[in-house]
Amino acid sequence: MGGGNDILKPRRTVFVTVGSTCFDALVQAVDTSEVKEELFRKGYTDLLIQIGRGSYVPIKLYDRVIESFHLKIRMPFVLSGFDIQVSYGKSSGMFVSSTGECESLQVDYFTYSSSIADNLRSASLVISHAGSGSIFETLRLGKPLIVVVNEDLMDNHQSELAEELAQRKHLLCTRPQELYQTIGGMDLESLVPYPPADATPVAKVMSRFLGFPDD
Amino acid sequence: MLAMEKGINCFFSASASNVYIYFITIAIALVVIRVSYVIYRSSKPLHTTSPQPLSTLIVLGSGGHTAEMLNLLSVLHTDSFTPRLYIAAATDNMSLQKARLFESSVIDKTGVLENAQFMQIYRSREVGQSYLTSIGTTLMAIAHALWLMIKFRPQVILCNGPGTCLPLCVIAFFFKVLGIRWSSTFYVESIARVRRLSLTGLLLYELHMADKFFVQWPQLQRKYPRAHYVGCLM
Repeated sequence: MGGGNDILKPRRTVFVTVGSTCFDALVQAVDTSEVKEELFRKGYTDLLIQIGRGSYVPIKLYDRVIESFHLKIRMPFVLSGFDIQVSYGKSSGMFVSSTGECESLQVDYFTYSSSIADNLRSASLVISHAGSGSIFETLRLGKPLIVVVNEDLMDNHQSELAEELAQRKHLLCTRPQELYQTIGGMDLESLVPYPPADATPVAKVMSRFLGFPDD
Repeated sequence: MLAMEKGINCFFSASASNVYIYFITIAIALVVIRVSYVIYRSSKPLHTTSPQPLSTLIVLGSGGHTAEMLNLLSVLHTDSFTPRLYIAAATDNMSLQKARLFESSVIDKTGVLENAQFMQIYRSREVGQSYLTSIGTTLMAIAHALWLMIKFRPQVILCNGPGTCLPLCVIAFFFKVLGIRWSSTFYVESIARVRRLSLTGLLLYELHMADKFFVQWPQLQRKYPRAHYVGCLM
């Protein structure tokens, strides 16, 4: 019966993006069991990572788990499929919930995509590098966002923007090694929606300066 | 006799060098006065009784910079800023595509084929290029920028970084000093700059080369009082 409920449960995907940068520290941080455990505890079911130019590849122990998951969809009442999952245990990103049910956080990754808009749209939580493009694309879609600042960058003016937006409660800002604590302590209800952009003040000042009538 | 001749020679050479110094001083003074006047005049609004459309140069940075610029263009009365020339770095293919898309939406709205041109400009230095070869490429980039500016002679320059716009703004300023063409330069610092200006922004601000300088965060305006705080473009 527990298996049956599991299938009806909506998927809640965490999308991780490093953009066109090389940010192995973030991919590595997301791939730790601490972070996965916290995400699972918060009710997320999938983890999709865009790894960009980085050389670190997330551990894909999950292929077999996904297989057994499909088995579970087809035959939710077959207990043998259930047993296989338990035997993989924690190393494959599976956790025993409080009711004794066994569930898994499915992990997948890709390097690049011409547009991450669809990934962002289908995500329930976005974990991103501090690039302004990714930040604003996510905020525009109204998705909860955790920005992880790359401390290895030399001229790190990017953290300025993330810190400012975090101060205004539009997003959460953290470092790779503190990511699991941020996820553990996050309260997404406290985030404030980002107000729509307005370029009319600039246009007004320009028009007035040039002598055009403003309307 | 000899002593007297020598004295006269000395007098002549001394007066000749005096004349040189005199002329050089006057020339420098004139240039300083002209530059100060241009800076002073640039800070004041244009007083046009019957405003005509102004030829506008729009410098597209890249990714985020271009997105911010297009957000600004979408609220601008484009018929006042006609014709428009879009310039992007030669290595940046996406920006001009996005500008073309924007221009086609303008045509849809008004039904007239607007006068818009699109051009690419050489960059002075690519990421990772050696300093020795970048001297040559910088000269190339300046020559290219100069040629474009002479050809188009914009009355309005719109830019928001990064470095691509710098040679164009400098040339526009010299055109003003030399009386070739009066133009108004508007610079919007990127939203990513919260506490410090970018190098391009800082140079344009300190050298008084932007007639209006916009920032998107209040703390930057407090630091640079001549800047206008206008809220977020993204």
